[in-house]
Amino acid sequence: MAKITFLLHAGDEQSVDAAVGVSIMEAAVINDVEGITAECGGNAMCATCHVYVDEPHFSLLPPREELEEGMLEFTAAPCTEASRLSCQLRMTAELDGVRIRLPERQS
Amino acid sequence: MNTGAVPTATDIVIIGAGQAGVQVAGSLREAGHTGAITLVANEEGNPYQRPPLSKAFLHTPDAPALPLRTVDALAQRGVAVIFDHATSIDRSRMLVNLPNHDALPYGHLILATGARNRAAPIPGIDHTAVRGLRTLKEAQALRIEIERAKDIVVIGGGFIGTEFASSVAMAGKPVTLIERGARVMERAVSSELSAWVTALHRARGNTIHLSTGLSELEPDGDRVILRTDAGDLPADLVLLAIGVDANCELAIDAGLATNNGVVVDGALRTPDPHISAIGDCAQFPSTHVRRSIRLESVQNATDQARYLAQRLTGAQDNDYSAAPWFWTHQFDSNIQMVGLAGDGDESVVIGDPATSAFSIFRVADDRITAVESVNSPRVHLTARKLFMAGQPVHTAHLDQFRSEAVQLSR
Repeated sequence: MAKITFLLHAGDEQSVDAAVGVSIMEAAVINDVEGITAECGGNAMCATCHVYVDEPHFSLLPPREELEEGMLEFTAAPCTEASRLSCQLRMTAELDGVRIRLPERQS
Repeated sequence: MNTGAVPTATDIVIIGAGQAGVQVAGSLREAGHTGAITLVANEEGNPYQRPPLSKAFLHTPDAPALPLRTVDALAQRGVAVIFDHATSIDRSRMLVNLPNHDALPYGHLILATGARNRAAPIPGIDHTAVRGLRTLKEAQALRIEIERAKDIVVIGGGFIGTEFASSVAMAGKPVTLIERGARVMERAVSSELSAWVTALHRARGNTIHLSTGLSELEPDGDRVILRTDAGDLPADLVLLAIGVDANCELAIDAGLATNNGVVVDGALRTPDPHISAIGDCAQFPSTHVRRSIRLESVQNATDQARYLAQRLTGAQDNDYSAAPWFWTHQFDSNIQMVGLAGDGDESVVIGDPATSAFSIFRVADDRITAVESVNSPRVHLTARKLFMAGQPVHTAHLDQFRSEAVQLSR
């Protein structure tokens, strides 16, 4: 199990445990973390699972593939260097302790 | 009120806790609605995502359902969930009648009742080996059946039938699929894409019989023998996937117009000013194809839900006009679509289908009506942006797609 700390837009923090292989989106939705909608169920089609990933873990993530790169243009909140679609990020042991910032809105 | 905004303290009842129902509940709260919001759900448990159920879920033994929103999360937003099957709508007293709960009064009622698997009036179809795939329970049962089955037949070559056939073949069990029509996914895609998908299935071990009718299922103990135009097919597991019918019964009984779905106008209103309908169950006038349609997709459910929440809270005055998009996974290929083609529309193929990365542009006069992208996300997203701009997409754009395809093939 690895730990994910979500920083909600309002300021609260919420930490959840996630098994290796589970996506950050799935971990959020299953644990009722407010602020990730995931309308397309994890298929990189809706951009409503948009998150900002803090360093040092950001650099450990696999790079954005073509579909994610393109879908990030559809986010409701500003897309920054730290933006990722959380449905594309699977937990690994290395990502234990990752801090995920949630945007102001998803749609 | 002009387009039908409601006072912010209005009690809203939503029948249906699928994609559309759950989305409209959340969107209403986000838009600042303060009245009571009650979801009537006819399945116990957390509202769940349906699209995953025909994909990897089927061959991943312990994969849990993905929630849309948990009941707890909904409660935290002030959305109450009642587990029951609504029996009738009393329009004059503005009540929803429930068998196991007090009648629910509404200031505004939203029908998000979705659709159910279509039955087939074929002798022997109710054998225990024949299953459907719509609900979580059905998907969970099917997952267990797939593990023990040896001879799997799929009736119906639409999205569900072909996705099921893909999932099961990828898990090591090729299937036989029979389709009554001349091609797979006939209602929804170009003939070129139908042919490409059929070839893909055949290359990966599935048997596809087109223009093949089914006259009877003969029981053989736990097994069945399907009497088809392609001969007798023995099976120990059969998926019946011939499409869905909108759940309109409540609307019909309440005297609301129905025609393939619950009929609504461009603002998603039924003729009753206190009742709207969204999602798989709603038959609405499309601004893209100039006729009334009913769309079965995540995009339609969520866009209509979001629109309705905006309209009810007075934030939206125009008719609904979101661009339709859709996706399907077929083996390792990701096929994405945007727009809605007419049957007679021409097809322009850009890219080489033999590379498995290409797109098909549907064209009518000087407009692009739809774009089907196979493993070409950039094309899909460029096309989606064009369609979302809300104007007809001119065929002049084809040049841009052609030159990009040339770039990519260098």
